[in-house]
Amino acid sequence: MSIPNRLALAVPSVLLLALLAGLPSSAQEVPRFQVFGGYSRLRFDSTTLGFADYSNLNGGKIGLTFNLSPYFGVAGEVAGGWGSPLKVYDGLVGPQVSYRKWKGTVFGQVLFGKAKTRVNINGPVTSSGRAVAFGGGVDFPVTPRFSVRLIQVEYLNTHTFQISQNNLQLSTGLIYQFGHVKVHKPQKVPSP
Amino acid sequence: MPIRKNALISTLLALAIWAGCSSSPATHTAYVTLPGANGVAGFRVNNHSGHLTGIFGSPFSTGMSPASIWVHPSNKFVYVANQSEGNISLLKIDSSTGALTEVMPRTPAGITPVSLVMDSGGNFLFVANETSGTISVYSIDSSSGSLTETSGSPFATNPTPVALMLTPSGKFLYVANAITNQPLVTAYSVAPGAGTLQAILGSPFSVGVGNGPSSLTVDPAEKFLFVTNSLDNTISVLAIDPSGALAPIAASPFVTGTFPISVTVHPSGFLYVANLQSNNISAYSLDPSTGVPTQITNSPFSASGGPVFITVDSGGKFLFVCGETSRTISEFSIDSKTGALTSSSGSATLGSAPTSMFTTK
Repeated sequence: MSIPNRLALAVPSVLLLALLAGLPSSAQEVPRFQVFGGYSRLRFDSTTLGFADYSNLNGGKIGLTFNLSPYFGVAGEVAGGWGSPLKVYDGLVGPQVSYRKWKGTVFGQVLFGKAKTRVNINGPVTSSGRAVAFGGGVDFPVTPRFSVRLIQVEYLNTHTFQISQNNLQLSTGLIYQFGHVKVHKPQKVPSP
Repeated sequence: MPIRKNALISTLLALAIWAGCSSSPATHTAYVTLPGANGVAGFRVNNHSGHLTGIFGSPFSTGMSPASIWVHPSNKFVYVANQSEGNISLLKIDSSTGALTEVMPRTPAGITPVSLVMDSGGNFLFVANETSGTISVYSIDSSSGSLTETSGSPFATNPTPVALMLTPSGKFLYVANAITNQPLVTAYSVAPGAGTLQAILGSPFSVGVGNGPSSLTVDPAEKFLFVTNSLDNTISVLAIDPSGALAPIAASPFVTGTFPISVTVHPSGFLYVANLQSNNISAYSLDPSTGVPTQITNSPFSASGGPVFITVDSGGKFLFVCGETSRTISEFSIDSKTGALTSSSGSATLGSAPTSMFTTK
């Protein structure tokens, strides 16, 4: 990977996370559903296919999170990355944990599913296999209905063409959210 | 909650740092001719471990029965001698994927082209045509890779040329002629800039050449030519004088295993011989002044599967052995001080029997 690519990946992530780590806390409303759509960049481990280097693929990601409580939910994602001569798709689902402070949300998740890799060298060839991802991200609300996913970073392991690939996926985009998770607050006992 | 928050942030931070710091392993490529598949297998070679990773889309189509291969020093073009078709395939290398795409039409050669060599500058390609008994010489267009036969080509040589060796300086070309009961080495000087061949005075050389000459190599100092004699189970060592003429050194030939078929020399002065029928590799240290090969400790080294072709990797750290019956590429690490070989787990399976291999720099 070239130095500019490394910096493009690493610097914003590190700065953002360092910033968010120090934010003050405040109460916030928890949406029941969050629909995400945005840009993703996949660093695909194409060295396993005999390529000279990793392949950086631009693409998109859509996802849905169903929050069961302020802290736990179920997330599903579909993503694709396109380049020449590679195309990589993945569909994943799994548990998500969230931590809400002030107005922001930091989340982590482990997702399982399938991946499909298509390589076009002297003719297209496609292979599908299992996939697993773990990572997380940071969301920040801009209106009651919309949030911005500042960054989502995930390690994505795919197993296509009978080889395991260790990939990295970065995403950013918009979240539309609706519904509310009921938070059971302890009732105050009236004083006699 | 603070613990969970810290764990999440730490995980993201670790991934971000990993994204920023990790880089791809340094690699180069290797290509192997597979006559039975009418193609060339491609591999990515890890510079550190020597392990082979198949290049996607491999094997890549060539003409019929590719017998010999050479990669242009620009790493842009691959040339393959198609033994059954009597022509040369030009294949372009995709620098990103390592994949090969043939550029048509193929360039005509003589009958049964079996061996290729190229000068270090990538200006000329020399082809031994076994049945027609000629050497074809082509100039190479460095931008397109296309071949143009030079003036005077093909050059008549002695019958049954089966192997070529161009000295590192490009001054002399040696040809192994596997004539029954009359084995020869034919020697030529190569005209600088023109590629024209001129027979060296006294050529062909028969004294000291054993039966069934099958493979040639030269030491890095260009002082000695080594010839495997596959029917005598020996290797001949011929001293090269400044004119390019050959004369056997004292005590030549030297014993090898059974049916020595391929020979290569290490930049540090170790000599390796593949013995097809005894399934092993004979390893020698060379006396730089006399050229005498001395078998190193523990030689020969086992190499089952019919070792038919060997080559030292471009970095000098590994020896690759093409197995004819095992249909594999076996990897050995080379002790840089002693020349001893250690078998590695980095072998690769092929779908067809290999005949030659070239590793890029």
